[in-house]
Order: sequence, then structure tokens, then C-alpha cells
Amino acid sequence: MKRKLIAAIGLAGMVVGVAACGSDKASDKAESTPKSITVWLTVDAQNNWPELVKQADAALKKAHPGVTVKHEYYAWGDKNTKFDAVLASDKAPDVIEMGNTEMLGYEIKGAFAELDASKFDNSSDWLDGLKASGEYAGKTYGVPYYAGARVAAWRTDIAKKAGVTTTPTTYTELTADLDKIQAKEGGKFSAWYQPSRDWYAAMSFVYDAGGAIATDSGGGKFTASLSSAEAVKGLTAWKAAIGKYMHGDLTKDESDRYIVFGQGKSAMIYGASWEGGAAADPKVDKTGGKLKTNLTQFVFPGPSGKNMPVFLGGSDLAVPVKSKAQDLAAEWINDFTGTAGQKVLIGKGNLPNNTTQLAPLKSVEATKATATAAESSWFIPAAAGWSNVEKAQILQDMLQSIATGKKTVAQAAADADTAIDKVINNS
Amino acid sequence: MSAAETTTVEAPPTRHSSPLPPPGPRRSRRSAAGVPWLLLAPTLLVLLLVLGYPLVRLVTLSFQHFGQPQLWGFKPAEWAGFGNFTTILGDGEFWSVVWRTVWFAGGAVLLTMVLGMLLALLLQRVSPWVKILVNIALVASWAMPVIVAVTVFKWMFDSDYGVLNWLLSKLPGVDFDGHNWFATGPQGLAVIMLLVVWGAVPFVAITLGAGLTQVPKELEEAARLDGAGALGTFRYVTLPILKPIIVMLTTLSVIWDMGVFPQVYLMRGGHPEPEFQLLTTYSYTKAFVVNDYGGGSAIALITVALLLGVVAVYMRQMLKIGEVE
Amino acid sequence: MKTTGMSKLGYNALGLLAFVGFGFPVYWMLNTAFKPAKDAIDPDPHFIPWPLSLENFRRALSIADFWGPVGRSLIVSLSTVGIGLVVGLLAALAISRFAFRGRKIVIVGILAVQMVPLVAMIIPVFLLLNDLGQYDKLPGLILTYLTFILPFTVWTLRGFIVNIPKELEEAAMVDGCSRTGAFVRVVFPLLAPGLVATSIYGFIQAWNEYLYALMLLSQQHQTATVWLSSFTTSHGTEYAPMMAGSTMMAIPVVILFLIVQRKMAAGLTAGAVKG
Repeated sequence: MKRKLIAAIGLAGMVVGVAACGSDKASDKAESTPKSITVWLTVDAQNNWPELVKQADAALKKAHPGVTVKHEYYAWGDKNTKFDAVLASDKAPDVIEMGNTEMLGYEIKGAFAELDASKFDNSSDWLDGLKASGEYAGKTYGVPYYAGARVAAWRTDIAKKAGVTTTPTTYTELTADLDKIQAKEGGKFSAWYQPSRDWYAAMSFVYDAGGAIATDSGGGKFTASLSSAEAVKGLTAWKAAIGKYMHGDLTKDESDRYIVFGQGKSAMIYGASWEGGAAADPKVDKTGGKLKTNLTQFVFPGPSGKNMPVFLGGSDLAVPVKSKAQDLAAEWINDFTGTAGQKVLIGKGNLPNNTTQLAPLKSVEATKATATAAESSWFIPAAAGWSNVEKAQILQDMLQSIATGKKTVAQAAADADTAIDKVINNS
Repeated sequence: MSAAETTTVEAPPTRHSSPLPPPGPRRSRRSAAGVPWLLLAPTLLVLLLVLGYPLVRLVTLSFQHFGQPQLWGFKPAEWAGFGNFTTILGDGEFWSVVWRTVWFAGGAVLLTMVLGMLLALLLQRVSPWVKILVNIALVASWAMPVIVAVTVFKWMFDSDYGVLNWLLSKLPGVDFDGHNWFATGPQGLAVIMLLVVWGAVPFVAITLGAGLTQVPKELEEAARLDGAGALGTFRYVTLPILKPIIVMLTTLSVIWDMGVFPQVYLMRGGHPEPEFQLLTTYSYTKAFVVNDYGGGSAIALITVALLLGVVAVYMRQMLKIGEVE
Repeated sequence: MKTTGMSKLGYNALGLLAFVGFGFPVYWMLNTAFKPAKDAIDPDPHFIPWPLSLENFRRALSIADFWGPVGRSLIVSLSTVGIGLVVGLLAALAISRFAFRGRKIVIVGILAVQMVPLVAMIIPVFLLLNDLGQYDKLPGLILTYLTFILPFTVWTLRGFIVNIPKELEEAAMVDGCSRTGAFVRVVFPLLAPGLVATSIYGFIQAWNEYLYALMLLSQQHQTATVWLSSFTTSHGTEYAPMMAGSTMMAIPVVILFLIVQRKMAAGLTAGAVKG
């Protein structure tokens, strides 16, 4: 009788779907001055920037005295499970946080209310990678909340031991440096700790080589393109790197990466900008403080000679279509993600949602790498069934089979294409 | 033994007793028939209220195409006939998953029952302070929320920093540093089975322990006086008395172990590889993950049918237990 | 108790082995909870939490309100067990001690209900309870938990009841007790161990249940198990405070067990069982 529990479990469960007692859609905005709104955010906001939440609440209350803001915080795995259920009832929230890759699936099904982009701070400057996730069929349904770009984090002390004194600026330099480090440290050390299931990094290789996960074949339909020559080239480069420099557990994904890095078993990781700092945190650091003083970040160079395009991870905020307080909800969102809100988020190590506030970060040492990396990004195909691809972990399975040698690059890519094509256009 | 429908009142010749004449005042048969339903009423009410309608919907849904748009009321449900069922049953992968689940559950149930029985017997024979210690360990492990248990096990068996690899490497000549327990299906499933059995044994051990208190000491002593050894006493005195409880526990264990989910799912970080897929994780990824509620319902019903089939072997046994003759 | 063959020492040694075997993961959880957070995941593991640190407990308590969820979990679990035992016992008696038409169907039905994957029912149940006005209300959750606990309780108690010969009740009634009196005086005490096992199980099930608690209650009224999930953000999981949190959550269960475990031994008034 073991029940299912959190984290990775996103249940979609079963359904009653009281065959929609005449559902009202966006027309149900009847707002006879609603007295309260309900906001669903992920636990990140609760744990890491509760003060921003309070700030936004205060701003809304000042403009609308007497209004209360109710908050509920959910873990990533649970959020959509519950959202799917409540959206069928009258208990839908007024604001909900969605991962930027989660948005499309819901937008296509009409789960969100249309928003007027002009009402939000900096909307004309929103980062491309984020803006794309909040738009569908020419309309805006989501407001970018925050972003993160991937950078390389480097142990300067380990590099120095191997005779490397500067951070690499090209891919050739990078591999040469890693070779030296790997030779110096021996077989059980991972010069570059790169878990195979981290598809964000692997796909960066694909996009850098000029390939793509899937291409628009017209009429809103997409075709998987991992078997294209460019994509295969990228995957092969990735596989070669993993073979040479990754000696940890090949079947893992990126969730433990900062922990392993903190244990000092690796000289470099390519991940979110906060991971290096998290590894250096005394709670995680097992190198006796070496991480804190010997860590540097740089933009990962791509084999193509340009900066490696990064996946711009982040969240959007949306207003469910069944919300009865849509105007208030939109206002709260602006209080939360507007210019003032972005300042707080930047302070917590995130990237802002607009280029205006991003630009100055390029000159600040601590954020230089990640801000520069953010300028070259890729995003998931805007296909109706993309969420199916993610949920079925097609890319991760492909990468793991390549890394463990179970399949050749060509075979794995072909199999993945077949699997993707089956679901990518389903809504 | 006659069927349960009879309502004669003499006691049948059970192994426990000698026949006794029907004693005392007996209620008339008519009002006696009403009493059991009265006793059952609250239970049936709760079950029907909360599960009745959902169960009906479950069946209905399995014959429909139903996704998020239908759930939210934006689109009507489409009739699918037996489509969902044929898709699932025709999938070769489905059957290999079923087979694997049966083997896994079989192994887990066997281990659980044997270990549970041994523990229950052991607890009868140890000093009181040891008994309390073991009971605390059992209850504490039983009480751990599954996610915590899986997390701890995951750490222990982790290839990069697990304590088990570290301990094993301390043995002379053994190097388990970096060993990946989940590189192959059988080894990984063995670890998961260990986790499942570890979580299941406490309940079985404690319940069997409770059952053992129902075994009359006098009978055991009599058997020993007659020359039976420990094994003989166990086989001919203890086991028969415990049989109803053992059957109950085994049935439940089969049902639970075939329905194991979080241990597999979380142990593989939310993405069980094909060699680790069991019926529950398979149905989850195939149906729930892609919001195919119709397909998911169909799988749920197929699961129930399968379980009923597996358990059917014991059905006759179970229905006979405690028959009032 | 007479031991043939192995000495008491031998049995005790085995018992301690069992203690270590079953307790290791628990000990590991405790170890992690009391160690400084940085030692949580250590390639060079420390087996004794030294220096002892309560920092994880402090962090666990500060992330989100702990006492509210714990209180609610207690109410829900105790109610579920209390009601479940009474109602379940009545039903178990019905199918064990009485012969009536439909008995077989009821038995099979109770068994079959346990086979339906609970995952599959979550949204229908949610919508049903919402329509009944029971969303975000503890009674709604208790009612739902009863549907999990009852079939199992009935099923298990049945196994215990059939082991108690009817002749005992009949003997008591010959001695002048009414039927209920015979039950209370004779059968009930013998059932005590079975009731204890079932109640602990029921409590643990309700206490640790996650999915339905998540779906049927809003975050303001969440239970302890859902609270435990607030340690995982997109920046990873804070394992050490999470272990501290689950340690705190395990305490009521262990206390409950220590309280009721004597009643198990009380069943040793097996002197009543004469052939």
C-alpha cells in the first residue's frame, strides 16, 4: 500500500470531468469588485524570496484597499497535478506560476486568459527566450517571471595543478585544458561532470552545430530532426566529451550535480549559475572551503566557434481562464514581476526578464558570464504536443542510451525521432 | 463444508472443538438475517459514498477519449468503444511489463512472508528488552514516509556517494567504489525489492506476532510432550492456527506488491528505464503522464482484472474461512 | 517461554541482528538529521552525528509552519483510526459470524475495492468531494481515508475473528451472558492484538498519505506529509532539514506504538482458550 509521493511525481490522475456543466470561458470575468485573489507559486518563492511576495501583496493592497491575497505554494511535481483538477472545478487560482516549457501545452488547450502585454513593465524588452513561452497564436498568455542561463563553473585550483592558468575561450582550448586535468587527476575523477540525462546541455551541442530538436513543417506541425546531419554532429561531439571526461554515474540527471561538484570530484560543471554557489555553500562543500575561493564562471564556448547557445530556463505567471478576478490578478503579477520585483530577483541570483535590466549585469563580475550567455539561447519547439515529449523523457532516454553505449548516436537519434513524431503534434 | 448461504445453526466439526449443542436463546432466523446488514451498513455506506460514483466514472472513462480539454469542460468526451483496451492489450511491451511485475511481486511477497514469520517467531523467544528494541526498529521503519525511505535507500545505494559502496569497499579485495547498482535490471530490481520488503515486513511481523498470541500454549506443550520437535510443532500446531491470518496477509501482500509505485519511480528519479518498468509505472507513463485519462482508466481496470485473476486461486479458500454452517 | 535448541543468547543475537538490519535506514535518517547539514551527503561517511547539531531542526521548523500541519495530521489520523476500527470491526463481525445471502459478494467486493489503483481515482474523488462541499475540509479527507482503511481493516480483522471459536461465546452465553456481553467479555480481549496491529497500520497509512492530502486540502490546511515536500525547490532538495522533518514526523507514530504495544501482550490471557 505504498502511495505515491512528491518530487518527480506529476500525476495527472483520473478524471470525472463532470462533462462540463456548460463551461464558461473567458467571458466569465464578471468582476463585481472581487475581494481576494489566490496566487499559486512554487516553493522556490516561499523558501528563497518571501520578501518579494510580501512586497507585491503590499503594492496591490495599497492600490486596492480591502483586497486580500491568498498564497499557496506547491512543489514542481505537484503543482500541475492539482491545477489540472481544480481547473475542472470552481477552485481555480487567479495567478499560477508555470515553468516556461509547461506553458505551451496549457495555452493550446485554452487554460489561460488572454493578457494585455502593454500593461506590464518592460514588456517591449522581454527576453526573446522568455517571451516565446508566453505567447501563442499571436496572443499573450504568460508574463515572464525570471530566467536562468547556463554557464561553466571552473575550479581554478585544480586547473592550476594541471598547468592551466586561464579559463578557456574556445572549444579547442577547453578540451585541451580538460585533457590536461583529466590526465593529472586520474581515472575516477571527472574533469567535466556531465550527467547524461541533462538534456539542456546536450541539446545546446545540437543547436550549436546548427541542428534542432524539431523543425516547423508548416501548418503548425513539427517534425523531429535529431537524425539530421547537424544534430548528429552535435550529439557526437557531446558523446565524445562525456566519454573522455565524465566518470560519475552516467544514468543520473542534473539534480545531484551541485552536490557531486561540492564533493570536489570534478573540475568543471556546465549548469545553472546558482549551482556553483550552491556547491560552495558550507552545507554542501566537502573540499574544505576550496570551492569558495577557487571558483570562476565563464561562458561555455561552442565547437562551432561561437558561444554555446544556452537553454533559457525560467518561469512565467499566467491567469487561469476560469479566474473571476482577472484584472486584479494581472495587476498583482505586474507588482511581482515589474521592474522593482526584478531587482529583488536579480539579488537572489536570477536573471531578469528584460534586456534593459540584463545589460548592466554584463559588467558585474559575478553575473558577467550568465548575462552574456543569456544572449545566445535556444528554446523548445513551439509544438502542440511538446509537453508529451518532455513527460515521456524521450530526449533523456536517448542521451542515456548514447552515453552508456547501449545505442549508437545514429540509432538513438532515429529512435528518438520516431518517438517524438508520435506525440509532438498531439494536443 | 457446505456453501456459505446455508443458515443452519449447528457448529461444524472444526479442528478446534468438539461439537456442542446449540446453547442459550437464539433469535429467530428472520431477525438474524437483518443483523449482519446492520453491522455492515456503516462500512458499505462510506465505501459507496466515496468510491461508488468515482468507480462508475472509472468504467465509463475507460471507454472514452478523455484529456485535459474534456476535463476542463472545453470539449466534449468522445466515445472510444474498446479502443483504449485494444491499444493496451495489443502492446507487446505491456505483456513483458506484466510478467516482470508478477515475478517481482511474487519474490517480494515470498520474502516478506517468510521474513515476517521468522521475525514473529523470533520475537516470541527473545528477552523483553531485545523485543522492545526490535519492535521500535520495525515500527520506526514502517512509519517512515515512503519518500523519505526511498531517499535514504537511494543515498545508501548511490554510485557516486553511497555508504553501501563505501562499506563494501572496506572488505578486503572488494572494490565497489563507483559501482552502479542500477546498471542492470535484475540487480536494480533486487535493490528495489529489498526496499519494498523492508517496508512490508514490519506489518507482517507485527500482525503475525499478534496472531501467535492466539495459539494456545497448551497445544504447543502437548505436541512437545508427544515428541514433536520445534519444526513439527510449528508445522502441525502453529501453522494451521495461523492459516487464516497468513492467507489474509498473503492476499494483501500480493495486491500491494503488484501495486508498488513510488519505490520504483522515485528510485529511478522519476524515469524508470524500460528494464525497471512495472505495471504501475508503465501505466503511469503511458497514460497519466500524457493526460490520457481514458487510457489510464482502462489500464486501471485491466490491473484490477489481473489482480482478481491472480488472487482467484485463493478465492475459494478465503470464502470458505469462517463459514457459518 | 521454553526454548528448545538455541539458547536465549542465540535468539537475542538474532534479534539484535534484526534490529540493525531494519533499523539501519532509520538510523541513517536520524544520523543525517542530527549531523551538520554539510555532512548529509558525504563520500566519506560519518557514522556518528558529531558534532551534534540541531540546526536542521531549526531550519525545518522555519521554512513553513510545522505545528499546524502536524496537528491536522494528528486529528485526521486519529479520527480515521478511531472510526475505522469501530466501523470495520462491526463489518468484520458481520462477514465472519453470520451467514447471509450476499456474504460472498460482500467479501469479494471488499477485496476487489483494494485492487483499484488509488492513483486512478484521485480526480473523480476530488470533484465528488468538491461538489459535496468538502474540499479543503478535514472531514472530507477523513472520509476518503476511511475508504482506504476500511476494506483492509475488515479483511484483517476477519482473519483474527475466525480464529476465535464460536464455542467460547456460546460457553459464555450458557453461563448467562447476553450475546453482546459474551462478545465484550470473551471475544474482544482476544481480538486485542489484532485490533492493535490494524490500528497502527491505519494510523501510519493516514499519517503518511500524500496524494489525497495534497489534492483535497489547500496549502493553508496541509498535513504534515505535504509539508515535507516544501524542502524541494528547483535549486535542489535540502536533505538534512528534510530528514529532520521526517524524524519529527515519525515521533508520534513511535509514541503511539509504545502506548498500545502492551495491549498486544495482554492478548496472552489465552487461558480462556480451552479446548
